[in-house]
Amino acid sequence: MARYGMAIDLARCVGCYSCAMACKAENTTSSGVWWNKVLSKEEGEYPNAKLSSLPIACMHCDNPACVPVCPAGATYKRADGIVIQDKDKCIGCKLCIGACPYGARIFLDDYKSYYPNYGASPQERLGAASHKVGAVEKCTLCVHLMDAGEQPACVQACPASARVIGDLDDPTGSIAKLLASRKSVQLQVEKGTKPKVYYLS
Amino acid sequence: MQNVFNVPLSRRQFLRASALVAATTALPGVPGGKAFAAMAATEAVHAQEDRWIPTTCLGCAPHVKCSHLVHRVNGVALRLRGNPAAPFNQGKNCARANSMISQLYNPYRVKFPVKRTNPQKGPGVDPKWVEISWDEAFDTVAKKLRELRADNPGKLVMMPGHLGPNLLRPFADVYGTPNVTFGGTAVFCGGGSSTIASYLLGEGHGYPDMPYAKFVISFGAQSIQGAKGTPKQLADYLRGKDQGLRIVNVAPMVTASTAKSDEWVPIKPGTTLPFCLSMAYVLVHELRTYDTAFLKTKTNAPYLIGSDGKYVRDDTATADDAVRDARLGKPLVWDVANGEAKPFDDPTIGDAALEGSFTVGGVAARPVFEILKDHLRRYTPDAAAAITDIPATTIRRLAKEWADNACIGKTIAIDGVTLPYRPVAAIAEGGAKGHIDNDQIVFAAYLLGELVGAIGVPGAMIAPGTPALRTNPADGLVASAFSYKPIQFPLRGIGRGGLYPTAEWPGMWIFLTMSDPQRYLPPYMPEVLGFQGGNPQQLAADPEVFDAAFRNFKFIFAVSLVFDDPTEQADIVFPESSWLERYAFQTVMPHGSLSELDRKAGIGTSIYQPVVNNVFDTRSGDDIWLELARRIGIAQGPNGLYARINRTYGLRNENALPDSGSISWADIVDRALKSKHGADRGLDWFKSTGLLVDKPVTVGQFYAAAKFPKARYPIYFEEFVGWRERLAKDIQDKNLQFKPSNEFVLESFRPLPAWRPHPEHTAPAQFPFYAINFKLMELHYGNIDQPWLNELARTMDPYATAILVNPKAASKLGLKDGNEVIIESFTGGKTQGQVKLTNLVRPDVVAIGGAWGARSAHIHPCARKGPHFNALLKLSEEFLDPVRGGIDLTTRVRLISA
Repeated sequence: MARYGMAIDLARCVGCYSCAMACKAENTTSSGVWWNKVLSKEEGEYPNAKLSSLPIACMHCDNPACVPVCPAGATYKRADGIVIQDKDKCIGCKLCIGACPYGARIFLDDYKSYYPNYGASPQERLGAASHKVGAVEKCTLCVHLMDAGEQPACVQACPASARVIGDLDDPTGSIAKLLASRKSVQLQVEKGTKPKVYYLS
Repeated sequence: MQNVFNVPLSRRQFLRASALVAATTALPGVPGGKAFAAMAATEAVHAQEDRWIPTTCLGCAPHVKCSHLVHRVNGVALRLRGNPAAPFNQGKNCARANSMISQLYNPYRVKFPVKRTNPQKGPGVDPKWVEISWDEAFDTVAKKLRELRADNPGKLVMMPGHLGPNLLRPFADVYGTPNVTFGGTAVFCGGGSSTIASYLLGEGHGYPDMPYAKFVISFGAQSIQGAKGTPKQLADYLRGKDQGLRIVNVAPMVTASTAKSDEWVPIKPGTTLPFCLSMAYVLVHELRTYDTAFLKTKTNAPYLIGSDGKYVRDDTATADDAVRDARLGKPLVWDVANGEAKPFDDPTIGDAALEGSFTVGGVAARPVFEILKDHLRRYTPDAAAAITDIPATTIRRLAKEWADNACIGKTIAIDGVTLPYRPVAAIAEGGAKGHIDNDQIVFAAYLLGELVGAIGVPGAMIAPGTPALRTNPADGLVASAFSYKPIQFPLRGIGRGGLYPTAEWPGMWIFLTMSDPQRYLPPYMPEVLGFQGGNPQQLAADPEVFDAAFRNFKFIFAVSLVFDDPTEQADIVFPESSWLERYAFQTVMPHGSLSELDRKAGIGTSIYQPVVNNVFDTRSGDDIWLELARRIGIAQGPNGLYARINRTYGLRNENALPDSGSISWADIVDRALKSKHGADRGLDWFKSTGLLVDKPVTVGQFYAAAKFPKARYPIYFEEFVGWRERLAKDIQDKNLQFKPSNEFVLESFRPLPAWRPHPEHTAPAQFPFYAINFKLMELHYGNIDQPWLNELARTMDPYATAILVNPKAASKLGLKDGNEVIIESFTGGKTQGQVKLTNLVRPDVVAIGGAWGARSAHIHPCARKGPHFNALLKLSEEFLDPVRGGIDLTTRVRLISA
């Protein structure tokens, strides 16, 4: 069985936000909800200051902190390593939100329209069907696409080809080769979550 | 080699039976909303439908042509993705494209024809729109236009935006008005870089050939990492980076679009020109590194100049001059081999002199290069350091790096074609060029390339398409992209030119004339404005000037997608279909560098098509122009719109439009496609494929050095010497008094770039900050009312909507992050916003991104928030570049706590 992970090449990422928007379009998220975000980091003093970008979403951890705290069994790790949130089982207790060190989870208190004075657009009505008000949601690694043999929307859209998805256990695969040849970091490894998103520097 | 890219409709389109889209029950608490009532019927008709429809993007400037697939489920456009079969974006796309669905279904769009019922007009004043029928809208406008045309068709001003009004210009032509003025695409549009790039590269968008470049200096260019931002340009950039390309960002700030540069040189705003000339000084005087062979045979460096600054010509060898519209003798060069002057193209020239002083026919003459050397002596690194605030050591180091990387004498073979290899490029764009000496700044940056032979060759500045250069037979140089139109005063028209004989930039001139008729004494005052797209209040400088000009129209009609600032001033508004609801077609070709993939892909056509039925009661702008023409009575006949369209699109024989009937824009697109690609490749064929790319581009077509091997490039714009004389005479004859002075205007007409302070450099000290504007990665200027993009920018990009201030400067003023401040410019402009402290700007600079702060009452409310940089600028003669007509985009301001 594959063990899916992602590598994000920070040397290639230019902070264009295409991944964040592709995720919104693909997953038809509510106004105010972004499963995939790009953070800006500024370091140093003028004139030696630098600006860098850090795309973050669910890390699909090998040892996810969200899973053991879920009283409803709504959060689980699939055999292929993708961490899933089953919205129908979720009771909205938000314990997983507190447990996740990456801020990847969002409680959907309302599926909000982008057109507050008009109500939901046809696209929002159709898109809202895959969300549940009162449940927690997050990046699914576009599991619906992965299961159909495609890559997640953020990977497909990235104009810099900075994102690579694949089976971490396949030594001949592109992600394993990339991780073997480049220096990489995972975020907050000290939390013991064993995140499977690797940032190449 | 026929190479047809069809869209494979198999894998992506049909393997998409996802759980996400299977369920279509509406969520409780999410009502449909009245705005979308019409959609319910559409959904029923299309129940159980699940398709991907190919189309082309119009999310930013139209020379960028990404192809997309739109996912339509049950009649609803659910999402959009890059088309993996498109050779140029290969399935990739940007945040703007991904958010387009949020504009398609934006209920703040113009949903049906409306007329104003509130006679009072002003920014944010509710026009009290009421719905009218299409017939009423057409008949009202047609009646006005018929009457006006009988009086003077020039009294109609027409304004296109950049989002593809195809038939607006043909309509204006057959109506008979010369007054078509561009409605602004961005604060940073074109200007001098477009003209100079046309002149020296053969295409209006110069770009570093990233995959082959080793060293790129970016002066204010926000396109480097692909802001405005095509996946293609970004891919080119990354290919270069993968191969060790080094990029230096010479700009007053670091933006997201320049964040990955290898070095930041924080130059004082508006001083790119002396910086470039100082680098040239180091190359020529200190390092003595320049491409002698190139200068002698591919430039006018050896051409002899007399004491009047003009070429010394051989009157026995004459030719028609394409630039000066005269028959002229050929410029002479000094042949060192036998000590005599010869026409520049004399095959017996042994060795053309670049330096020295000579006497020709009793007249003292020096080669252009000698004059340039002399000119550069004023720009020592120490002198430039005092102006630019960049240490002399840095200027010297970068010049050395330029020289070391230029690879003078080296060649490269690409696809079996051997070309000079000069992997250095300097690009001056954005804020760097937006000044009163716009064209000279850009010229100064190109001069660095010309000195080392880095122009139109692999690794250098190139035309990012297939270049088109014209050679002037009289002097052998590429023909100037500037031309001199004799000054008119009193003005004969209100359009381009008029007072500024070489100004090609028409965007502001009509409005400036109209805003101050007492000063410009127009021969007639326009009465009606008609526009489609275009938003000068938001996107050009100084909204007050445009407001004043708009007030001077008796009647305004708009073809609009949303109720933006100019639309709010209209009397009648036609609702326009979005580009996801209408047809169009365009040529696609590599835009950027020529990668292997581009060489295989090449040139072709892509179409726009309706991916859903019209969401609201809208029509394509082109159908609106056709119907208006019919109702005015200018559609038919040899001078009618139909005949004009036949000429524009080359529609002949069976594809020609009949001279009668109610022809639709879709029919025209179908005929145009068939004319171009054959009877079996009409609209129906393209609707299923989206695009056809069938003409490969070769290296020989792509690089100017290969396509025009004999081209010579000017390093001295000799034509400007004569034009300055003509202008001086014109000014005297017509007794003109320009602001701030006639000398200011005359000084702009120079053969070589020269430094002079800009208005912002001499502004009063109580306005201590330079205010500059920058592009955002995620937004083209016109996208601010797309709610997804707007939310992204506000919530994710801390620099997008803030007023950026250096912490040291802020602490002196007691300003903290998040403080609300009013910015006031020394010319009286004002805007307001929240401070963000950042070390990414110079301490004497405040920076504002994008163009925020729409004022109209009926636009999506998200677009009304944020500071509006352009409100700080002043549209007036003393802030215009007299050569090009572009405006100074930097000002000086003070900050006041709100």
